Amino acid sequence: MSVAWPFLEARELSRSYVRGRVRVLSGVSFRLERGRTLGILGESGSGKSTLVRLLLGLLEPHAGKVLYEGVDPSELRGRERRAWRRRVQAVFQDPAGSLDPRLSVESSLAEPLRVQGWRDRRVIRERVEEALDAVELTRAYLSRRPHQMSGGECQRVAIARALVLQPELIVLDEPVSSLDLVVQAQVLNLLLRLQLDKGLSYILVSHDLKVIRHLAHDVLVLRAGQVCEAGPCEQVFGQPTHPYTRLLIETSL
Amino acid sequence: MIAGRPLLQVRGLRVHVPGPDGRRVDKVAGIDLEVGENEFVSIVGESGSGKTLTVMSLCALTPPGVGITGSAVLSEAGREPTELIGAGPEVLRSVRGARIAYVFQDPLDALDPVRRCGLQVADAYAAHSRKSRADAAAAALRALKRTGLPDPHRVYEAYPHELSGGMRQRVALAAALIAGPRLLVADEPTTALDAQSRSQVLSLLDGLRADVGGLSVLLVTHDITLARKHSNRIYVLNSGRVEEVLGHEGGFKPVSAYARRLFSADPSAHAPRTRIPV
Amino acid sequence: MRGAVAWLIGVVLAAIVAPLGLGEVAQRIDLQAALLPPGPGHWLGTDGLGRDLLARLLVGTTASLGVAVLSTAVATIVGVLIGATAGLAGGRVERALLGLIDLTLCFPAFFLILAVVAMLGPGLTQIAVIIGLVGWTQTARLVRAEILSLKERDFVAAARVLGAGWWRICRVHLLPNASGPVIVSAVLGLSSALLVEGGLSFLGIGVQPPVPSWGNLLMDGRSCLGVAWWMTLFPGLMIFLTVLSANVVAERISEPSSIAPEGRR
Repeated sequence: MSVAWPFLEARELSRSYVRGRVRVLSGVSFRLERGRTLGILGESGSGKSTLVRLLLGLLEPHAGKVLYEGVDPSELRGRERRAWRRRVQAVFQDPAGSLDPRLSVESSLAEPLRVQGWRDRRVIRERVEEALDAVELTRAYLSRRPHQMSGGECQRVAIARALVLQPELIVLDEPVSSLDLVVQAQVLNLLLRLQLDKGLSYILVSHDLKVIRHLAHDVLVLRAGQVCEAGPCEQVFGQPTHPYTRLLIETSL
Repeated sequence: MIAGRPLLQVRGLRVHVPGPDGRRVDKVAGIDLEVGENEFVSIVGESGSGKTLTVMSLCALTPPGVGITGSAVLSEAGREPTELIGAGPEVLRSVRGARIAYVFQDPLDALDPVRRCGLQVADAYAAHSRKSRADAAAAALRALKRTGLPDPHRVYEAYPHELSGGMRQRVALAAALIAGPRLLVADEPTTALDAQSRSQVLSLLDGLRADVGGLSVLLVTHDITLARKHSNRIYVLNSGRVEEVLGHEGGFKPVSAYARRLFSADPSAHAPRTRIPV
Repeated sequence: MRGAVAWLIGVVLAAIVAPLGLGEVAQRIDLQAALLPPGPGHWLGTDGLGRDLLARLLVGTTASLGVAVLSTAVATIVGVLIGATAGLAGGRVERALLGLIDLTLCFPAFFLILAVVAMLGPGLTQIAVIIGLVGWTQTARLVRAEILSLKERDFVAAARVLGAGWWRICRVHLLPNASGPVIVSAVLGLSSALLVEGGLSFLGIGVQPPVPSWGNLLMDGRSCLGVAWWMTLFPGLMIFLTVLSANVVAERISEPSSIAPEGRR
């Protein structure tokens, strides 16, 4: 039966605020297969942050379902829920804000393992160093704190923290939008390599069409909480059918 | 390299701030820059490259404690050339708004939240002329109309928070342009806007250049695609120096290693899902 | 700043050491030497019973500072608990706790303390606990506000994605990050508690003689202000300098530069 289920499926997700009066997301559906990247292209107010929170289980949808291999994580409890948590990780936009300012890089990277109940310091240290290697940072960074690092370095640490638990899916919420162009390119290269090395799946949420076009296999254009166009990147960006998609292409390429 | 007459000539501009040990730190370390009449010139660079400080120092809009040396001469047809660096407050006041206008990234920051938009545009007019309030109001309405706002009367009466980001940016543009400046300095004017407004503001900038007759634009941006699309010339800044000047004629092909790296970092310059060489 | 820290360290040392070495000196009555002005034998003069004022001031530090520290501890613990609960729980619980804060603020604190002392009788511990129980509101508000803003930060979202529960997030991320303002508020609380103790003892319902405290020394001085100015001046000066030092230190801690020395652009 497991063969039939897509790796991740969103079914008619809806969510409103202010007692149902403001719909931020209505009827959003998509599928993601293992090892692929789905880009979610949307501007501020498109509902993309809400979508991210729904996918990560930080919010519950008012209608619809998120299914990971056919399983709705909101129905999982205890040990199973924690196991699901391990498989799905996230990287957020603000590089400094997504790290606890008081924790060293080592503590920040060890925290996920501790939460998952790891106790053996030596094993934890090994995993932490492995993750640091994966994001191409030296061991010297272990003792640094967020304010001692550049935006790009912070973002690498945030990616390492997502990698520490060896997840299957990483939700990337505007992972490069506050970085300078050259650093952005380096982080994009890193994300691409990690995906190929580890067979990761990505959900890449961004307002930047160029970033999505570079990294994603498929794209979903979100506007005012609704999907206005979806499909493989070449198709959507090559022959856009929706006027809004055309406008986005025109203003950013 | 300049097409028409030079409007602004900057020579050896240096901007320094007090460092932690009391010594001066040069944030802008000797910049030469020219903007011709009717030209669209862009300054691109990474954060910290000094692009914003450069344009802010032209009208002494830098924070206190910042030192500016060098020369920046504004020469308009039919007027004595004006040296801006080191100019007194009287001169600066007559230049700001009336001859060099500014728009910034966040229009919400640039507008007073408790004053109606139309009045703010009229204020900008009244600051540079002795006309009556009725005249100022009429001029403000005309300026709002010119920016292509759909319902200028409503916008005139609205408070900034009642408008969308794109509309606010156009109100800020109307206020900037109402006194008929020759040079418009725009610092990341579209970064905070959605696609719709971005496209409107950019075509407005392009249109105004043709429409007003003799408006030059100095755009500060980190978006190379944007700069390439609209400019006659691009200055590439790197830690307070001009690394390279690229012309439209040359197809904006960078030569210096730094500029090549910067331009190459733009993902749209490469095939999807391939390594970006940086 | 350095002077303030040095003064506070001195006061703390005095509070610990003075009762051991000077306890007996401070109580020694010598009517021959009554009301001596400051001089070689008695540096700060003597009181109406000929007791050495310097010794009494130093010994009095214990009671004054003890009350201040204990009450601040009570205020901080209660404040952090209530503030954190309000910030984390939200909804009805938060509204109820905010109501409690407003209610506590509605009572004039000093008269509440007066009333309670009048009922329970004076005593160091009672006074301290009561001062603490009316002084937690500021801390609670601060902690709630800090937690509300920290809760929205991405690193907290990241921790939730890791599967960390609210208790762990609170312990590892929220409370340590909220500690700065809490420490500042505690140091300020310390000085206001000192003033309240002074006030209570001055009114005669605080620390009871013969145990000296800065407040009741001040009260002793009042009766002979005309003939023995030193009996009022020096206790007053002690309270003044300590409160001032605590405020200076609190101000310094609350400056952002002292928390992130290498703040980024």
